[in-house]
Amino acid sequence: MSELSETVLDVQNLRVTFRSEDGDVRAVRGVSYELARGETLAIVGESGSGKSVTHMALMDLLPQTAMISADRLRLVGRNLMEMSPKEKRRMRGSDLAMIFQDPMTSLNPFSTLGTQIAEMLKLHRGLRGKALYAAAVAALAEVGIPNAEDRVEQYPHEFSGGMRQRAMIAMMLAGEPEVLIADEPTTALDVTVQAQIMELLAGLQSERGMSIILITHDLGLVAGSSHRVAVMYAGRIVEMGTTEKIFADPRHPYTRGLLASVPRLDQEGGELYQIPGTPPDLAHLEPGCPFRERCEFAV
Amino acid sequence: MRRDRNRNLFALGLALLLLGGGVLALQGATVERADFTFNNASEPQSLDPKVVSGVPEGRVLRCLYEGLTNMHPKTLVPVPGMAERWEVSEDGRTYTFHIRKNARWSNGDPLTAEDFVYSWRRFLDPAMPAKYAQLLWLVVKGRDFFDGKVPSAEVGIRAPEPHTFVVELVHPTAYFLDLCSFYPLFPVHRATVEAHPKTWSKPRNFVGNGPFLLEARTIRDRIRLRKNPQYWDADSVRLNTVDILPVEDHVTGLNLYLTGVLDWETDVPQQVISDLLKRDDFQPRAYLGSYFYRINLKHRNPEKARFLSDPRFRMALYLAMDRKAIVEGVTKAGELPSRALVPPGIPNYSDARHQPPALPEMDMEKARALIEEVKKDLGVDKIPTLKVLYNTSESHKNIAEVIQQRWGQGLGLKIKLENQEWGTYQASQKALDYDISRSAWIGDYADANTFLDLFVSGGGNNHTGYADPIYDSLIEAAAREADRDKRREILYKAEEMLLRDLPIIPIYSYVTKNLVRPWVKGFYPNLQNVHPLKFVWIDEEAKKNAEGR
Amino acid sequence: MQKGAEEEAQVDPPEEVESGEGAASLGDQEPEGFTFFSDHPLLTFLLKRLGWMALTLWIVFTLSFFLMRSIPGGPFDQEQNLSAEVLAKYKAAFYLDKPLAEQYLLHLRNALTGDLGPSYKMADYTVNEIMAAGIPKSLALGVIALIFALTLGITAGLLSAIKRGGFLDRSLMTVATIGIALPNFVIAGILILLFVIWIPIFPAATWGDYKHLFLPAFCLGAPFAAYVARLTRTGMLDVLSQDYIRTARAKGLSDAQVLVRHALKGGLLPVISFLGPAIAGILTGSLVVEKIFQIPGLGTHFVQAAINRDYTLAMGCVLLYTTLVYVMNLLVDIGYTIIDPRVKLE
Repeated sequence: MSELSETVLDVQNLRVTFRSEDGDVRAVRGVSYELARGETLAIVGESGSGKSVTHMALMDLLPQTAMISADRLRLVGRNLMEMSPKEKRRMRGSDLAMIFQDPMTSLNPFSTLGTQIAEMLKLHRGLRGKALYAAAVAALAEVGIPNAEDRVEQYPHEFSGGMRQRAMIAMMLAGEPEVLIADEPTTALDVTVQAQIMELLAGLQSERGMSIILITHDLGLVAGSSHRVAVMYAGRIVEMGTTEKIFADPRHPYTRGLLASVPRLDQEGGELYQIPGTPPDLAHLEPGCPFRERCEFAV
Repeated sequence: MRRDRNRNLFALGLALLLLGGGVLALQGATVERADFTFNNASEPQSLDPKVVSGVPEGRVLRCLYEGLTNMHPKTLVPVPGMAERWEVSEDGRTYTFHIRKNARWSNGDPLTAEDFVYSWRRFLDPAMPAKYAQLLWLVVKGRDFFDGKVPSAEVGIRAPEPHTFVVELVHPTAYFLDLCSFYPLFPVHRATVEAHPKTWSKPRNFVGNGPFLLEARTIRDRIRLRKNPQYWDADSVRLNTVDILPVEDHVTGLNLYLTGVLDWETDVPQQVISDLLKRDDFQPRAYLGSYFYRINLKHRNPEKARFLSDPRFRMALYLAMDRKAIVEGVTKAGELPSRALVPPGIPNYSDARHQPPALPEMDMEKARALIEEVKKDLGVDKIPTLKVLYNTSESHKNIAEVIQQRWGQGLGLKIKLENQEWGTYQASQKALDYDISRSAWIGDYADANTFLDLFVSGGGNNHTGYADPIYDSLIEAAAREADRDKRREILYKAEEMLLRDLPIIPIYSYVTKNLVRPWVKGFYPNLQNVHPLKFVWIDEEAKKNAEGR
Repeated sequence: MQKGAEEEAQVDPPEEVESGEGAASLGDQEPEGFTFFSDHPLLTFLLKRLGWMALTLWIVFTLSFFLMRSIPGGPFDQEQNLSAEVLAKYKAAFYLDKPLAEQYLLHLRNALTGDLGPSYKMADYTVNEIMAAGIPKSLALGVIALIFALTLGITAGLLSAIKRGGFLDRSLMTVATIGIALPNFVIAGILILLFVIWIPIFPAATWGDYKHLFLPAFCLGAPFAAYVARLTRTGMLDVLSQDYIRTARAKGLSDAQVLVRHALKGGLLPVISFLGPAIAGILTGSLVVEKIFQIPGLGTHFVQAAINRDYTLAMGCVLLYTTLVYVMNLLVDIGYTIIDPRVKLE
């Protein structure tokens, strides 16, 4: 991995706090990482660990109640913290794109996919008329959708789940982003389709040289497709390293727990491990390690 | 893409269609204001004199047609109309009318005695008679022709000469000349009626002989009249255009009057009468109508029948009724409490110089005594609950509540109120399916007969079950009597009988409730509330002054 | 979704979870749904619905026929001045002396040929003439009322949804709640007092130019505007919380673009569903409004026909109202499938 050099995304000490009547919920409590060009970074953790919120914050998609602060937030050399709302909007979709977990609900059911893709092509690449149409068809074809000329005239409900996620990818890549955030891109899909989607993403990544942030709770998915892994717990990255290292030698007890809970083909039978307890309440976090309540090694 | 565009275009198309419809909807025509506009309160049933039977129809028809005689606008006595003069035979049974030589239809055709012969025969036509057909049973063989027993030629209506019209009556009739000005007896234009049997009364075909022409008519919207230049007395007609509106809701009507749309509103909402009385343009006057309660003398329930058919019981109901409280507390427009059926003001009957029979004033003591007497005689202590029926209306309800209270507390009766919508109420009354029922009658002509003959045995509007051969013979005798004074005495006897037997309980006599702009001239208060527009005119000077202020 | 479209149109079963979809599903194409410009399914749909309409009309005709005649009082029984002999002749002329079953067959036969007969109470006109004169007026009133309801309602609803929780939202929704609660004769009274008596800019009543339509149409539309405002607000708030709105923002669209291109259609679906009941409501609501403002439309004729026992005219109005409500609902259902591609004509 030594050839990975240029940093496209630099996040230092990102904090996100939600104001609520119940007190401030500190959802992200100082996340830092750097993402290199062409790299795939997997962000792993339970739901509520802050992995999605971190990236929604980067995309500026959080509600008004969220307070975001960071020591540094840079995307291909530009400071996200100093961007005007308008600049942030332009950044979305063109430099930083995001695909979502459920392609059924994340696609607009009232428009054909052609229209939804063309919207991106118009907005970020300024295409119009025949070129626009051709580009939309090409975008669908590129993600492996057969009969793309017909499919551009179809609505999301006329697609199968896997096809929908492919279309979503085609749409979000239409702006030719530097970084693609894939938020649980395969969770709603069948296992075989999951593999195809990951394969597609990998192929597109090598073609375009973009970076991918793969947000998932599924370590099985991480193993084959990411260069590095960051494990998040209670709003913090508790452990980060190359995929091999994390799998071979997990340090943090939470990482160990996560790894133990992945079903493995080489271990027949026996009960699957479950981390005891539930994630902590981020509105009322006490000092010290937030995992200690659930930790096997806690004194 | 393409499918989206099609959908969007379609949705846009629908929205544009809606908007276009809106633009189209706003393209109504502006109606030019008429010289005179009044609210007639309902859409006339028809413009065919034969088919109509109501006050609003009369107002329209008197503009479009003219009878043999006309009503004097102040006194309503018969004055020359299509007939410039007439003679009555010694025995009072033959009338000879001389049609004026310059009488014309609105299309220019001369109007002759033949037109009256045709129209009056049509009026009695057995196949499809006029609603008021019985009026012409007065004419010799009129009834037989109506029943299909004799051909039309035998009816006592003749035109011996083009301008001479002769009518033979079965017996002398004091009010026959009044009848000749009554709208059902107006003539119709034969050629038009025969050429367009179903559509002759539409503006495009209509031919009339009155002071105004039918210019336009839109259903339940307005009737536009224009002065008829062919009318024999066109010089006296001063209004060029007249609009007749059919506004049923008198609150709406009042709004229209107050905003200057109407020059004359024919009725007003009950709840504002006290306020309107302060105005100069609201002057209620005596009106030829009586408000009374009918009592069912032939009740099917024997328990109730025992009481209702006892005249003493009915007298007790009368004596316990506080008519003063009703006219002062509810109706408020200056109605007079009644102690008889026939309202005051009828010439030679209840005018200032004559005293018709009347009941005593309210007397609770006497009423209670009568109730006790009836109970004792019948050997019962409990009187069944009685229902007072009225058609749905705030003022009928309020009146019934006053009465319920007096009969309840004063006489210890149990009274329930029951309201029915107009059609059902009429049917209940007709079928004698009630205990006590609110009623009213507006006289068709200024004669006591129009009230008294309601209660002859089996009369079409009796609705009480009252039947007394002596009463019937009195009404009959009055009809045959040519002498005014003798006739009056006979009718007095009839009313006396009616007030003794009390199939009805008199309450009050009506007043007119016209709202008329001060600059409307030639509009005179009178007993029948008839205001021929032929004589009405606008004092432009007064109008300008009033509006300028 | 509101009722209306739901009853007649079927939504595709949601496919949240897929199972057994393997590699073969890559080329899988679901059967083509409703293609707008292929008129075949539309035609079958229309024929089917028209068939139901004919059946409904027949049932309505039969029920109305017998119900009307079961109420005491007939068209000529109410006239006080009619003697028994004349009454009998009038009844005979209008078949009213015949047995009820025979009357029914006679009227049904005439109705089938499109002849609803003469009005019993307005002898100068046939029922067809009266209705032909009334329809344009009621339609004009209804269309303007509908435009009021939709423009005011949707605007208020959108503003409310965008400024959710703010002062504007709260005031608009308070007005809407009042608007729904107030019967339209009360609104009419207030408006007449304001704009006819105090500030005389509109005529009090009667039919004429556009000024005569304004107040009645507003009174008629106001309760529906209030309802539409609430539906728009809930619909928009619901849609704005949807995942695909987040997607649209992730695409880099401006708030306005997100609103117009992505939120509006879904947000207005409840309004479209409500159009069916709203049109029916506006038609029946016009009975009251037409009376107050003396508009010679169908509503006035219908009410008077019922009061006067004008059987033929009342029947004509009932049949016409049924047809209008049916056709409007049909159009709304078709409109629904056009806005929402997931819904198919059934």
